[in-house]
Amino acid sequence: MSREDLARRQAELLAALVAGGPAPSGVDPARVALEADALRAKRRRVLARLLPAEVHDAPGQDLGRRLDAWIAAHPRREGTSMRADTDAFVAALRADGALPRGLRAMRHRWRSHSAHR
Amino acid sequence: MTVVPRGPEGVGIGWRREIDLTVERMAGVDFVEAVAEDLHAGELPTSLATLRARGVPVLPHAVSLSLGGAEPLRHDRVEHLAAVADALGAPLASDHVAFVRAGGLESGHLLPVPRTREALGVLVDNVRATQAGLGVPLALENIAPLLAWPDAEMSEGAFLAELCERTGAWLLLDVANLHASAVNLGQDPEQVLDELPLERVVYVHAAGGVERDGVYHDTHAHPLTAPVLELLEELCARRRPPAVLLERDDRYPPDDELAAELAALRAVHARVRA
Repeated sequence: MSREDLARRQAELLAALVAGGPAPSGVDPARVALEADALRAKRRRVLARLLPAEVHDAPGQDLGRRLDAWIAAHPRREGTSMRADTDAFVAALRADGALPRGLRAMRHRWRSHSAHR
Repeated sequence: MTVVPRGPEGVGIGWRREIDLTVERMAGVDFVEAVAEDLHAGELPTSLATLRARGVPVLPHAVSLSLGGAEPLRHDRVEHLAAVADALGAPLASDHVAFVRAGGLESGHLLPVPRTREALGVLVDNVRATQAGLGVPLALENIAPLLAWPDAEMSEGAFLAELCERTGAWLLLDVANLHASAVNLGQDPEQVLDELPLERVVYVHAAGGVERDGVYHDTHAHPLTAPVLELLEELCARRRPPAVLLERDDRYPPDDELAAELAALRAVHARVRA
């Protein structure tokens, strides 16, 4: 196996785990599904933790379902920090009209709070 | 002769913002570890400064170098780790034998590398490049795998041993992850301990997890389990590591429960065998 082959195999596995691609040959698809679940759950936890309280408290937006849909539709691109992922999710909520007006003003308050993984 | 770095000694706990006061107030914390990606070198949390002022060593632990990744190493991330280690006055820094990005995507968690000669070569190159950019020794941690690549050419122990030998890196041995490899991949943890250069272990990680449907999940959100403590005991019987650290990342229990887990680790670690 060459470095190029290894890079391709790793990209194939990661695409299977976060972007719905097929499991690489020789890797147990059941375990790929299990790892994919674990990665989704972890991203969901981190996103939920980084979201400002105002988003958690916003009425009638079904946050859990929206988080799951966001994670499924937006595999995290290279160089996108969890903070940037959270910002993009909040922006999508806002674009959908799922957040009350006035939240924008609160953004800078929590932006510097933590984490740029 | 290799000089063993003056790493931590005793028992420590993973510092997290959510439990910063708990950690500061807890008795018997000999050192702490903080996730490097959560820190800015120029703006360390007050809590870590407090611990540092008290003489408690703070070790940066990275999760994003992707040392096992076949794509080019991200030198900016190495520089970040170096800057954080420097700001903390840390004796060493660490990351994992894993990859976390490939093909333009981020995994968000540590993924295993194939145990092949080729993958080992990639790791050796990345580890050497990282060492060149760090001002402190680098320790490498074994991960908790849920899946395995086909066609392994080496055991995990032999793979890690050769990686250390070729790079001079130190080991951050995670006994919970060793247990995960045993349950999830059917690997014999005692064989891994037989094959590892235990004199290169600078400290040990222990954490709680949960077994579901025959799969061990290294959650860092559940209490320590007996098999993990037994592995720590087995390790100590072979060669007592200088230090052991409890990792807890979620579903934080009351302070006294965390203190009891720390005490359980200390009891195993401090026990001297004839």
